[in-house]
Amino acid sequence: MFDRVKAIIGGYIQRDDLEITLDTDVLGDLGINSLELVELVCAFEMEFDMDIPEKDIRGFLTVNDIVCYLEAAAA
Amino acid sequence: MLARMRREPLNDIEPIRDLRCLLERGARVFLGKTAFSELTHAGEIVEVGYDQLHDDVRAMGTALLERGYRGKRIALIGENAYAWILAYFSIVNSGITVVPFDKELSCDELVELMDRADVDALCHTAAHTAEALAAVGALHSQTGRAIETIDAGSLTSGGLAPDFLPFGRDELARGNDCYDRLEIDPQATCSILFTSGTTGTSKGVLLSHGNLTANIKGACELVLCGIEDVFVSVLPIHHAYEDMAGILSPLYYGCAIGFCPSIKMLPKCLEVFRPTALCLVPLYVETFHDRIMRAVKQSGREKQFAFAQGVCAFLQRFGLNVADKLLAEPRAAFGGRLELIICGGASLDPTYAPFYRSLGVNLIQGYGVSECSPIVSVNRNNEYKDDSIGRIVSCAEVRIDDDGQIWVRGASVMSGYLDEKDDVLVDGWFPTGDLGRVDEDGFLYITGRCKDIIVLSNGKNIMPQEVERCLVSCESIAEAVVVAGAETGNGSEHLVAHIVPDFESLDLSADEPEALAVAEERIRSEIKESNRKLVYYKRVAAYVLHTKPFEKTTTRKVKRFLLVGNLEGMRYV
Repeated sequence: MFDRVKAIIGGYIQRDDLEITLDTDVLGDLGINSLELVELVCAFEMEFDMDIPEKDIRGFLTVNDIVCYLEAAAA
Repeated sequence: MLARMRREPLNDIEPIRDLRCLLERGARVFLGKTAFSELTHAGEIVEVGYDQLHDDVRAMGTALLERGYRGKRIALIGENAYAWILAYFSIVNSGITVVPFDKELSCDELVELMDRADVDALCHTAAHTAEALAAVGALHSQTGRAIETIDAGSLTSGGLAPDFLPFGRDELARGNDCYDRLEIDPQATCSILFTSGTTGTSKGVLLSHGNLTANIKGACELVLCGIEDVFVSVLPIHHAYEDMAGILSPLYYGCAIGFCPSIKMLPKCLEVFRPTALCLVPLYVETFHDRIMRAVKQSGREKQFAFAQGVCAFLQRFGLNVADKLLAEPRAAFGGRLELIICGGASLDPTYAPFYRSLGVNLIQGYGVSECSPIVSVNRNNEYKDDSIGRIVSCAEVRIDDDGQIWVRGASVMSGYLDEKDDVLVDGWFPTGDLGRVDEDGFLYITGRCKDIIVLSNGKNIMPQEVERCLVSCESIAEAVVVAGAETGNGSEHLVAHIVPDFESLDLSADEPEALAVAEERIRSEIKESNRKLVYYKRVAAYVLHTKPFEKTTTRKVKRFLLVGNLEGMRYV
């Protein structure tokens, strides 16, 4: 799951200088704003064929939060 | 000597007595015209005409009066939707006070505000039923107060206000005229808006029909729209800016308003509703700009894009608009026919305006505060200065005091704050907390702030003390001062915390070389924990560590100005 999430984030932010880890802070480290986070989440929705409510997005502080959320939804 | 800008006469706008008159006028003047639109899950458009809006509000108002709500207070929570609008107008037009809530508030915050505002009911859209029921339950268990919930329903799924609207329609059919007979007092409070206060506790701004209708007139006199205009409502609907600039003023002009219920739906809503005008905060303006430039770069057509922009900008000087032809692709991101963006809520970098204008979109800035209903100034369609926040509305006077603070007085200024004995108004003048100046052409400029409130690019106002209290409750933090991140670009949405570690409680000595590194690890982890307790826009994105206590004034207040803008050594959480 982490690798798929990492690939989507990498494709979105297009930055070679950043190593994405589970601890990566979504807004701070990735350098995206809350609107761009929503856009990124839409990419997760397409990849994992699921709907992520907007209020759940507010809980995505780190990459680990996203991975855990997607894993729980897939279970 | 510089040539003065010629002043165009104000747009001719009729005075509106109260919000009921606004709807009655709409039903009369714009009969058969669409007022609101929503998208179903299947992507179909459902429309509501000006006459239906008036009829629905009459029916729901009748039901509210019959159920004994006259003179009471009703809180309102929901997404941008017709159900929210129906509830809002039904409440205020029935002699009831509305208390709009931010749908992002936590259950505890809702309970606190419901208690403080002493509301008698919580009205919610269908999508917010669970939150409303939880909040009302929590209010009962925490305070012993039992209040009712009112389901405003949904236009596109399950029907509108199922317990009220059909009942109200039946009453009207039976000849019940209690709503029509009710006389609205234009000066009585009809709305309590909770806003950031200067002490960290939100304050309830008391606004009347007269405040709001004066502001509608003032705003419409400056910004011209027409019945062919289509708005998409995307900013939070509980906010005074969206209400005035995105709903009430467009209703005066007979515009159509399409609702965007969530940010995720925005691209679809822009594509389907194809707006001609948008009310936005800087965050959207910056993000759309970045998105367009990213697409241009990825397509490898930067030179062609710059050339097309130049041609469009040149021909616009002669009144020729060729953006639709030369820049159709970037314009398609907004639905293809966008002509006007009104940007407010926070300071916008003036360099964005020429960019948007070259795309055929007139980007103008405005300024307001909830206490002034809210618009104080706005640039005009054909009379603008990109670094200014525009001309002052006719319903308000502005003066700048010796310290540079902007004061506002007039028909749109609130009567006061909820439950505050001390009058914040001085001879009717409201101190905005913003520093500014007025130029020789009558344009207003913001030059800074004299209150601590942080205004982020998403328009959210943050009282730093609230976040700081949360931070200093962490074991590893002795002192914290929260400031805004970078002033422009995406960083402007972020908060940065200046932190002095609590070496003592960490059992460390500040003199030890390793102490700071050890403390930092703990601080970073505790900021993350602290962030989870805060609503998303109050989260701390980065920090700057200090080894010595912050410099204080003689009254032991931290000298914040020494820390604002000083982001050296900043690290992301």
